[in-house]
Amino acid sequence: MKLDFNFILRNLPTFLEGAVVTLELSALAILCSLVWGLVVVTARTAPSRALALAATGYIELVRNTPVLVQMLFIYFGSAVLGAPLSGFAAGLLAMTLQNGGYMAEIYRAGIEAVSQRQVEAGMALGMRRHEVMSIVVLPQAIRKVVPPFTNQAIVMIKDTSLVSSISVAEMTFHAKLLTDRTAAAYEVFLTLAALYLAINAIVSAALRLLERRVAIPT
Amino acid sequence: MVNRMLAAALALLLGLAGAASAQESRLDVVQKRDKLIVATFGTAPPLCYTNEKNELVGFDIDIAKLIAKGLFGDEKKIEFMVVTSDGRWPSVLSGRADFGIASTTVYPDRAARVAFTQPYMDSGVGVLVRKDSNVKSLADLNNAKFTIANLSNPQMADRAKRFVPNMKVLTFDTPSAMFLAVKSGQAHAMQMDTPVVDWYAAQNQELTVLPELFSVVQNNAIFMKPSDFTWWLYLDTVVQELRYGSRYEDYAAVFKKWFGKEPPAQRFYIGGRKAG
Repeated sequence: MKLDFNFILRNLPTFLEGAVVTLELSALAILCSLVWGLVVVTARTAPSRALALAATGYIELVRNTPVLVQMLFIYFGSAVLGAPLSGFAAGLLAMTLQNGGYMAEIYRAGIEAVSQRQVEAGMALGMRRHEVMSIVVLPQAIRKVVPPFTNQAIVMIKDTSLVSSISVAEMTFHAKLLTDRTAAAYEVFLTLAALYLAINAIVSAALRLLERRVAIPT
Repeated sequence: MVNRMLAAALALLLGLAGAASAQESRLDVVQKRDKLIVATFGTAPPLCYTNEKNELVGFDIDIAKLIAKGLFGDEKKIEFMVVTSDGRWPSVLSGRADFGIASTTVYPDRAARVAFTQPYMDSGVGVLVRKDSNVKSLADLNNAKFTIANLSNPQMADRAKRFVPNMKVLTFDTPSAMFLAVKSGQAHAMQMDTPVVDWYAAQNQELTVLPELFSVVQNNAIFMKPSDFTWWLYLDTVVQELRYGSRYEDYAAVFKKWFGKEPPAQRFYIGGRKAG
């Protein structure tokens, strides 16, 4: 197998054009699911049984269906309903809905890792429930969940490649077009894999740095 | 010492691989295996698609079966590999499939990477539109308020830019996703091989095909990994026999079954079908 490195260099600008969209979508999706996950976990751990049950049902629903199916459903479904969402919006929405569910579970693991005694101590000091949560529990919980969050962020960056099926011109989309024009499948997909690897390596290194910065001193 | 042994082992391995590929044509491999492996689409009716009974059918599928019949005397000795628009190239270049037949147009830049046989059919590129968009011509369609669905190949992008530069463009990796975009209302129109758009229009009351074409005649051909002269020559000869020679009757029957009309004559000076 002979690889044509000039071909890769010649087409690098096309890949980078796609990489910009990949990064935009990744950043927005990660940000939105961080926020949405916080909402879901608040419901999930709420004293109200109905609310907790609804949140659990939601998490199971979005976690147990493929995100690609959700994207196609939202993308084509919105058009049938007469309000077509763009591919970017449909992809962002599907990724936020699903990963919000994952993030909620990650937060919950962090919250449950904070000793119940601290909650009781907070209550004993006269704090309200939401105060105990925001002052005592969450600051510790969020620090504890940086490693699983890093994991999820990387999964999401890779998942952005799925929006290439709903006409969003990100990296994988450009790779598909390029392959179809030239049939240079090996060169194209090798470059594509290398670019995802580079992006993810940078993101995980940055998050590892963050993990060290916010670690709870022992 | 270790380095030299490693180098020797590597040279031996490369030599073996080289010798094996130099001697054995895909034709031998296929005959030994007693079965063809063919890459195709699952969503491009009526060329290659999955019907209600979940069977892979279509004109391309039947042509592939005729090739299996020619090789083994049995059209069932064939295994299909369903691939996406961009996935068809690695499927043959990696050697997973013996050849591909997937609603595939010949373009020079493709021919630089894969080997094509002579064309087994002609197709143009037509435009399928929603009737409710009230479009009667390409001039009507060329409007910023309309969206066209393309397949993820750059030739479609080039044609859209050339014929309907004002339209917005969406790009999908299977013909069925393009069709779904038109049907659901994400797009107002799609461009595709004429047999495919004709078929969709016949099946869907709310869709129609514009009288004007993006392209009148293009070549659809079988593609394979290049540099295997024996295998290429075999397939090219089979296509020649189907189109113009001893297997024309089989070809005509399959053509009529899927397109409802006679195929082009065997020779331009004969005009229509004569035998039988």
